[in-house]
Amino acid sequence: MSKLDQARETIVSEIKNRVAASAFASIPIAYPNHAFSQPPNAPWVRVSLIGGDSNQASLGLSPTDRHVGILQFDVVVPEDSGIKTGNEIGEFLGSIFDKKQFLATPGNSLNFKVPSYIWMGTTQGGGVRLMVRIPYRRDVKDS
Amino acid sequence: MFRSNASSFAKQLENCYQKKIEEAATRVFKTARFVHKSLIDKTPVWEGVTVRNYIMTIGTPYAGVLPEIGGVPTGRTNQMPLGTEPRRAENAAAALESGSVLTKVNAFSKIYITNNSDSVSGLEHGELPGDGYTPRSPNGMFGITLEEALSRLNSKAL
Repeated sequence: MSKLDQARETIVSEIKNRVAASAFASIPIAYPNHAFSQPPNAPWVRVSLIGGDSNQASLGLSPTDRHVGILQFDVVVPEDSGIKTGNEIGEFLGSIFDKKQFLATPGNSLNFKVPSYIWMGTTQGGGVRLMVRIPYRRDVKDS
Repeated sequence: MFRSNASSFAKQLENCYQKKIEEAATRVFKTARFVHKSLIDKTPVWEGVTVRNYIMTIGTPYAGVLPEIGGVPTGRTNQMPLGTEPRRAENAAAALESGSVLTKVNAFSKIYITNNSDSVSGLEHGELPGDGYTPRSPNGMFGITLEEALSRLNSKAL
């Protein structure tokens, strides 16, 4: 498995495991480039992995490369249904990654920062969207 | 016999201080340039007005909205990769030109990069183009550029 996909797999597995064990176990989630049907008149979530650029973060014979990115959850709730449910779902999803570290083998890590929560208003395809963004840094040591 | 080298020591301290000031100014200069270009490069272009309006100023934010540079048809930009849109080059160049206000002399002033175009918020949040089209840049520009700049600053790449 590529290191890039190892990061995706780690994130998706964590979401699936934590959501399955939560009060939101039945919420439909759209993962990147997977077929998905938006449920009518019910909350749903879209997951996006936004990649940024990369740079060498350390010196030495096997330096560490740092890749930055943002994990984004779009929590969509039906119009005129209030924002309580969206807030609860969004905060739960954000808490999964809030200041967490994954893949913590020597030199390789996926470090998340603090989530931000922004209500975006009516979105395409219907519903009102809460955008949850969690910046991350993926450090990979050259082997 | 005791010989004082206080004046030489003071002079070296002064030189060191000046060198650090210059290094810091260079980093500020490079960071502002990096952020300006990164925002422009990540922004999808249709008419060009959003890209045209990334304006860098010193001391006071730019308050206006500039018209796009037309001249060539917009083309079917929804079917084009980011970066190949017909109106990108001229509008991006005009926006980058505003960065010429920045010099290493004024690098410690407040530097603003503003964008007052109507569509910049929608592009940042993956809401545009409008209904019926697939947004070409759900990735946005500002959030990811901030992370890139912070990472580069931490690793001294900037």
